[in-house]
Order: sequence, then C-alpha cells, then structure tokens
Amino acid sequence: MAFRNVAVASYAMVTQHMPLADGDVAKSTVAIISDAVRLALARAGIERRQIDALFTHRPPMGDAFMLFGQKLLAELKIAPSSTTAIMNHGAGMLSCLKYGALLLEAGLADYVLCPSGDAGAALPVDAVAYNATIESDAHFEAPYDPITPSLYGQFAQRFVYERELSEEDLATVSVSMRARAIDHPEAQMRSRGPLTIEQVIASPMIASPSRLLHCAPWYRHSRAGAIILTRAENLPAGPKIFLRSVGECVTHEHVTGRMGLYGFGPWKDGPNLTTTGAHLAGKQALSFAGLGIEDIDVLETVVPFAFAIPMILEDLGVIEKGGSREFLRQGGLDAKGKLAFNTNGGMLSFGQSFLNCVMDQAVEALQQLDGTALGRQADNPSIAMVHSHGGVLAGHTVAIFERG
Amino acid sequence: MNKQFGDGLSLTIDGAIIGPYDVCPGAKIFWDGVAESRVLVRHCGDCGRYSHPRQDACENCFSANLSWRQVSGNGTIYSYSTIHRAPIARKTPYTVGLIRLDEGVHLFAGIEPPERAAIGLRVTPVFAPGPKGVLLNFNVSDQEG
Repeated sequence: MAFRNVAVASYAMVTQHMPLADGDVAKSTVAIISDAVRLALARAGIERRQIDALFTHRPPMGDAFMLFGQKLLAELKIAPSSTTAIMNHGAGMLSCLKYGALLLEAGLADYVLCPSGDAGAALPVDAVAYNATIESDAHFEAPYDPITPSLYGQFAQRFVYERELSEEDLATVSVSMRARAIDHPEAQMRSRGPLTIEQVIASPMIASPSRLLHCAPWYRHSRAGAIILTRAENLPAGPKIFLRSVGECVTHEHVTGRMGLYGFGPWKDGPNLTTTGAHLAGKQALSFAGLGIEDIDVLETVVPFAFAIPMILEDLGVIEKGGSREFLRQGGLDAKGKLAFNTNGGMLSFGQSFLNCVMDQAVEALQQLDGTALGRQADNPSIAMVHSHGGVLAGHTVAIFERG
Repeated sequence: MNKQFGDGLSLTIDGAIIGPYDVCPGAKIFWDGVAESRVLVRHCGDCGRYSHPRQDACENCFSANLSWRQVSGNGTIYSYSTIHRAPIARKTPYTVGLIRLDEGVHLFAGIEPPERAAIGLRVTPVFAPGPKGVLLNFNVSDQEG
C-alpha cells in the first residue's frame, strides 16, 4: 500500500568546492551537513526544533564515529523523539525516508529530517584502504588483499559471462553516462568531454572486468544534502512532491556469505550473483505504489561500476531479465523513449561524493520533478524512481516520488 | 597456527580502529585446518549440505546440527577478478575468486596463476605459507572442467 499523505517539505544540496579559497578551512562532515540542513529548514519555512525525527545513513567515510547521527544531532542542538541510523549500507539514506514516512502516517512526527553528507575532500582515511577493509570479510576475504572493485568483480565477471557481454558492450555504458554528465554543471567528468568506446577499452584494468573508465571517480568536492518530509496538509496548497513508496531488500554483508543465500525468491534454485536485492526492492516499491516500471518517467540509480548498470536495470524491469546484451547493442540506454535515466551522468560520470552519492541521485530526481534540473531536464515528468545500494551490492532501497 | 586470520581482529584504517572483529571458532578452526593443509567445511547432519563461512546454523535448512568435515578442496571457478591495483604494496596482477567446491559450497581465495583464471575451470587446493600465515589458494588444474 502506498504512503497516502507523505510529501517533501523541502530538499537542499550544498557543496564545498576544492581547492579552498585562501583562509577557508575544509568543513567536517557534520559541518557541511549542518549547512544543508539550514538551507532545507529555510526552504521548508520551519525552525530546527520542529524536527521530530532525525534519520541518518550509516557513519560516512568522513566521520566513522559509530553513533555519527548523534554527533549531528549535537551540532543541530535539537532533541527529536525519534532518531536512529539506518544501517543497510549506503541504501540506508533512502531507507530513512521509509522510516520517516511511517512515523508521519502514524502521527508520531510532523517533520522528519533525512540528511546526508560526506566531507570527501577532507577525508581522514585512505579511500581504497577504507573500502577494502570494511567491504571484505576480515576473516575470509581480507587475507587475500582484495580491493572493492575486485569484490564487485565477482558479480561483474558472472554477469559478463552469463550475458556474454563483450568489451564493447560494457564500454557503451560508460560512453552513455559521460554524455549525460557533459550537460550537467556539477558533474565531475563534464570537463573531460565525451568518451569513445576505444578510450574506455584502452583505460587501464583496475580489477577485471572493470577498467578505470568503468569505475565511478571520487568526487573532488565535499557535498551534503537534506530532505525534510511532512504530511501533505502541512504544506501550502498547490503542486507538491509525494513520497509514494519505499521498497527494500538486503541480501548479505560480504560476497562469500552471499553464496550461501538460496532456496527462496530469485535464488530458489541456488545462489546467483546476477540478480540482486534491487529486484525485490523495486518490485516492492512499485507494487506498494500500484505502479508498473512503464509508469516511471525518471530513474536515477546509485551504481559505481559500468557492469552493474544493465544488471540493476534488469533487476528493476527496465531491461527484460537476461536481455542486457541485446539492449546495449540496440543502443537502449540512449533510445529516445519515455524514461529519463541517470540524468546527471550517474556515479560513473557525475562522480561519487563518497557516502553522499545516494542523496545526489535523490536530489537529482526531485529537481527533475520540480522542473529545475541543472542538466538534462526530462519533459514534464510526474513519477521518479530512485534506486540506491550499498555494500558489495548488498543492500538496495528503491523510493518512488510523484508530483501531484 | 594461523593466528592472524582466525583470531579476534581490530579493524584499523590508517591506525584508526573502526571496530573489533571478534574471535570466532568458525574462523579459527578453518584457518587452523589450513595451516595443517586441510580444507574443513561445516556439514549439516540433517540435510547433508555444506555451509561456509563461519556458519553456526545450516545455510540450507537452518539446523544447528553442524559438524566439521574435511573435504578434498577440489572444485571449479565460479567467478574471479584479477587485480591490477593492490591496496597494499605487493606485486600485481593477482587474482581473487569464488571457488565452488565439489561439495557445492563456495570459498573465496586466490587463484594461480592469475592470468589463467576463467569461469568453469577445474582447480585444486594449494596451501601457501606467506608473511600473514598459511593461505588456502587454488591452482588451475591442467584438466578440462
């Protein structure tokens, strides 16, 4: 069943650009999120102490403190009656919206704050080492010195093998994402210009099958965002964006453990690495909202590697299951159709603002619905779907917004 | 004894501790077995399936009736990825992958030689002493899969 009455009171995104101006200091993660919250509160026309609930994603890379959400609460000097971190990896940012919506519909909150951020430009840790440490099983994978792209690589190599994808097929994904980024003023890779298939294939291999130009680059600036949800009757009359539904699915923590998940759902006959939790999360979000994938006008996904774009599109039903090769060879990503996809270039060419990457895609979707997209603007869209994930394709959350 | 792999670990990044990773018999016994050139996997007395890693309950039927069994370690490559940029100072490329043992359970390990890995190839276990302890790796067999 869809949320009946949950609407977006406001949203905001802030960026601290690097290199810093003389005399400026790099903001901490808490500080830059605080800036985003201030902006969102002003746009919503409410005071900070009207926030009844604060939900955050798991501790960001820029601040690994276990109870990061509490640190933020201490900066904001509020005392909400509901607060927690949603711990299903990066997908947790979108999941925050679900828990907020539930409180709003139950009358346990009037305003819910869902912020996100990561001071990526002032990261206290080495990003490669950090990810390899937390994303590999310390007992059973870490001893082999994997890097995150090699953990995703287990999914990738299976997908390439099962779908019989060529190097050119994979490269078309990167080329397509770059084309969108060129039109977006905040996309990291905009200044590099369009990509060719040859350039992608010539880029150095990082962890097979992912080459450098199949991988999302780290965003060079620090970014933070905030979404404030409320019940629709708290907003002025007129068009507003409703949160219609949120679907979730978490399937594992580490890839080795994932191979022990089978006997039900898409994994009934045995484990597989080519259908992710996005399939169930997307199905849930659509069915709760009473929609089909064909009703979606805008789709933004959180996907850091080229192989996973067609994989997630299959999971969400945009591409028929098993049909990625055909879809890519027919230029499906760039077909002139109803669906506006990864309008900011996606992570591959927008860049990954560390753990703020989900908020990047969510705000892009909301701007599309508002008609205020900074890059390519979809033609009068009504319904947007945002897919998020985190961990090694471990947790997936799908949210559906509708202009009404 | 594989002290490092099986014992409790403090996960650290650049010296900052981000969390404890507890001593766990399911890891300790496995790695102690590797140090003795044995591949040990949890076996379910109720449904007969194998579970890995570190399971306390059968991943197939959730029974707690598990015991350790030694297996041959022979299997096939289920997936792999060849790494060209290591997270630490070490020679590249090297390959890590998921091996499907003949018993139907999957392990994560290194594959040698790194450039010969391909899905479906037969592999055999090799126990490789190294600076961190004895690792279980898999050699691509000369036999067809």
